[in-house]
Amino acid sequence: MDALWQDILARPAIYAGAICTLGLMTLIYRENAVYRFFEHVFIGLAAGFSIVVLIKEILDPFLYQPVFKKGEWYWTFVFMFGLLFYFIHSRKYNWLSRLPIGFLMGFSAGQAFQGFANTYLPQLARSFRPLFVTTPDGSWDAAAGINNLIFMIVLVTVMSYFFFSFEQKSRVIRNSAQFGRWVMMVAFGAIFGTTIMARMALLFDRMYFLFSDWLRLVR
Amino acid sequence: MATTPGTSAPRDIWDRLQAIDRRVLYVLLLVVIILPLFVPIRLPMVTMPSTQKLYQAVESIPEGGYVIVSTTWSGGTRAENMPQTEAILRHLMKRRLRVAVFSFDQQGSQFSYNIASRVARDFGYEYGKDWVHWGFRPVAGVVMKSLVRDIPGTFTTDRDGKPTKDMPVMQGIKDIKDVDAIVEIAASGIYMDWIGLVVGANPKLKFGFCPTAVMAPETYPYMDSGQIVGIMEGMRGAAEYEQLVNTVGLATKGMGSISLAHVLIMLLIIVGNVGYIVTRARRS
Repeated sequence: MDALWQDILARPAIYAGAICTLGLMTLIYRENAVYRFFEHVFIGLAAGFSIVVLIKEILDPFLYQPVFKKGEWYWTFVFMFGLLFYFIHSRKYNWLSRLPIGFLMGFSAGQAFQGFANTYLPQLARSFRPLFVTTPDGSWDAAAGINNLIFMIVLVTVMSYFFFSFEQKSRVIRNSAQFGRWVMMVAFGAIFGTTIMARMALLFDRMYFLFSDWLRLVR
Repeated sequence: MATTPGTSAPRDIWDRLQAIDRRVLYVLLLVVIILPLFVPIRLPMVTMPSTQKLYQAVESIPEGGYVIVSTTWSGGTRAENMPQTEAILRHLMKRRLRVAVFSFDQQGSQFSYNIASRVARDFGYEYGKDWVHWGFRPVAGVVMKSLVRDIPGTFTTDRDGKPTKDMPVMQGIKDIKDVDAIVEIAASGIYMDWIGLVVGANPKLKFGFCPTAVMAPETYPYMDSGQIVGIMEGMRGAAEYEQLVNTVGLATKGMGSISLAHVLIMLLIIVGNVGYIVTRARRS
């Protein structure tokens, strides 16, 4: 009985989802008022949801509760400092908004420095690879050696493409850069291929929702 | 391949192949996506090394180990990130690991709570004892830097505002050195922040990443360097992971449709190019 009631209560939400999905898909035919209406419905819903979560999960436990329930009044200074952001809309007191912005920029810069070192130094270290590779038992691992060779060729040729500081007159550099360009185009093709896969997944999800959850033609 | 307004009408079959009406293409696409829903196509699936590595990394965590699952995604990428979230949570709970879920996205917080609650019921996981949801947290960099040094201080309350310090699932967890693995399921480049600010702080920490398919290629160098232990790539990766954990979810059901759609797109690219080459050859 509970399951039946849950199902009955869920139906209006599923119908609303189906109508919104179909409304948005009318764009496939052409730009129209129905699409724009549902687009605004989605934007409004997302914004409203974000505000509710922000109040419930951030402002309440981290500001209201400490300040008004636990007496930790000093947190109001942090809140006031954050509010200075809104002076960006005032011509006269615009300069006040630069205080929290400057604070955040300083914080972000320090964080970026740490992030850069931790992110790219291991990458650099990993770029130095042996071309003659042995397995733990001492035998020659030809496949790993070939992989490393391909890696090195790709690394060097792609880097040579980005030598913009001087004119690439040398034939070796020119050919290397040309090869690097081709290699990058292969990579861009792979990225485009996965982009298509992602978009197809989104379409499948909507079709599955319509035919399974809404129409119940598929299980 | 769509007809451009204002251009002259196509003359012969080769011209027409380059100017198929986009609405025809959309109908074909819908047909190949919908058809496998009614006539299921089960193609043999080979697990990619990136997915296998993520699975092995989770398998190598000792029982009772601690895993943080971050779900930085929203409704726009639900198709890919939802099956990924479900597949990884199934594996973690099947292995009886302690799980803490949270999100840097408001919607992701709600989605992940719903999914984790459902999977927890299937595996008899008790909230507060075996798993916890820390809710939504803004400003990723600040949270990451904070959790490296003090996890209970960073997540003082769960998503419902309940204090976490007395929860059994939080016992023995002080800082990042007490965490065995972090899995980020995201539709953004947030993995860079994890690598830059957190991963290096604990050499034993395993960091797995589940991106949307669009983002997957750019993450490979990080797996190659060992900064990411494994990658679950979009819906395809989720389908492979579902196969590894012996479950059939949305991703597995979608593989037939997506495979057919790919075949259609490849055919259309070939058709368009044949038309272009023949037309060009005639003109020259």
